[in-house]
Amino acid sequence: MTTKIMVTANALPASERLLLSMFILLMALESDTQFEFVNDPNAPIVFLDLQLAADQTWLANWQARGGFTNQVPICCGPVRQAALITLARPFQLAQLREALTAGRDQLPKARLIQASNQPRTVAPHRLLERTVQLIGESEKFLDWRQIVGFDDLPIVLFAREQKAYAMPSAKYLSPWSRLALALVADLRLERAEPPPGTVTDAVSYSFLKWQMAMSLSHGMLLSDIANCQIFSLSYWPDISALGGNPAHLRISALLMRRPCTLKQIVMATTLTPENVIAFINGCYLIGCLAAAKSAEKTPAEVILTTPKISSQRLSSSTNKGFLGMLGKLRAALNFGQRDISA
Amino acid sequence: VNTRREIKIIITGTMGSGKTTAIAAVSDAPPVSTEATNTDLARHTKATTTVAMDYGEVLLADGDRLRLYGTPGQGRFNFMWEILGKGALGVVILVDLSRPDPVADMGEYLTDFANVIRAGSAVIGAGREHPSVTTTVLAKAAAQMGFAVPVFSVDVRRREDVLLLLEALFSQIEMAAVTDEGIE
Repeated sequence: MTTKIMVTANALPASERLLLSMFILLMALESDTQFEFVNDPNAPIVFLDLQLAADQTWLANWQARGGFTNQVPICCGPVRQAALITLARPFQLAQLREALTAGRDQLPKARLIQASNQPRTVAPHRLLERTVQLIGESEKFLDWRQIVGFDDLPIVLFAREQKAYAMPSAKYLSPWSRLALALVADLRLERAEPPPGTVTDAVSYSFLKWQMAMSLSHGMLLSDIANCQIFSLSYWPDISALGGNPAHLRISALLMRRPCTLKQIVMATTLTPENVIAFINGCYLIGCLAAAKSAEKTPAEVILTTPKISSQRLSSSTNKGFLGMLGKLRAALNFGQRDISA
Repeated sequence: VNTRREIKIIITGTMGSGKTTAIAAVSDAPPVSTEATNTDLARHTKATTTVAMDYGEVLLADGDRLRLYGTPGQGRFNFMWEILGKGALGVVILVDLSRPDPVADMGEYLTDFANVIRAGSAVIGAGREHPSVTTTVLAKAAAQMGFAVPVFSVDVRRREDVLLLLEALFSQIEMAAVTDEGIE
């Protein structure tokens, strides 16, 4: 049985609230207890910073009532108080887990909410969703400016500028998938400025999301669009700015002309289903996926059997018409060298 | 019987947006240019400018060819645009984001080449930088004008970027044929 406990930290700085909320999101993947970060002063678990006057007052009131307020405080270091749960700075996921578990154990059962009895499993493509969720969280905190460091690949996220920067040493290390995995697997945030002159490459959040979709989709649609049958675009994604593959232009051109099923896209573009799904996920994340109708609303069978897109037609066109010439032009201009193989 | 096929592409845009450079980036041979001394230094400081057209081509082994025509950038030569646009399957519009109003520049060319765009294909290549106008802004502005065309950030001195623009046109032509809604 899964239980759910609300957690709040109203007085902490935005960057620390962000970090705690990220950790709590990560914990939700692996724990039977679901914690949820909320802005509710009455939440059962309250993070305090005893260097702040507001939190000192909160704790004094709580102690004056002998702690019988149906709330449990967790004091964020360095100030320690005997008999109180403490979380040392800088925050670490493991210590947070311990502190929250201790806090849960001190709560009366009435404060625990039954969340779900579904088993909790983590599918590979959930990494993408979780990572994008984390980036989305960072966008809410406009003063957030941190280094996300791991191994030899430090990444700096500047939420105010909506950009991410990679250090030069990380330039050739296919950073985005590693960033995503590191964010999910072992997030460490440190308050530090990058060494002067070391931050060189800036990319947009859209670029980050797009690259993650390309790297982490694993042939599975994001859960928000997993039940959709028909896809189209509201506008062309800027493939060049996204670091995308020119082969994706064919999908864009197709979906700008008409809505299609995944099967139709694969047939018309001759790209692999995995590439098409990564493209669809990327378009969803950056906001250019326009219509993604659910199966129950769309006569999918009728569309699948329409003769407008068929491999036979594509084949005959390729042999006879402009398509054959386009293929030769692509070869002459070396388009094929940059394409995703079918 | 002449069975050789041709695809004609127009490359247009304001003076100094890189039309001649873009053609030179992919043409088999140095492009044929009709350059004259630039007497409109108020609009752009470059020494020469195209007054009739630029021409480049990619010739295939079987005689098929891609013809690339660059239009004059100055508005007073816009009578050439209609002439050059005849028979074209696609238009590349180069927008110089360092100019004061790149959205209006783009709109002018979309309007002037509307017939070619509606019958064929189009792509916008946005070069340089503007403090507020991004490719997304251009794409939305074009869509509001009824042209759902792709807009890409490009540096036309890079062959790869010019190829991206051409591939965007080819993809539109190809998908129009595949979906049986346009070019056969």
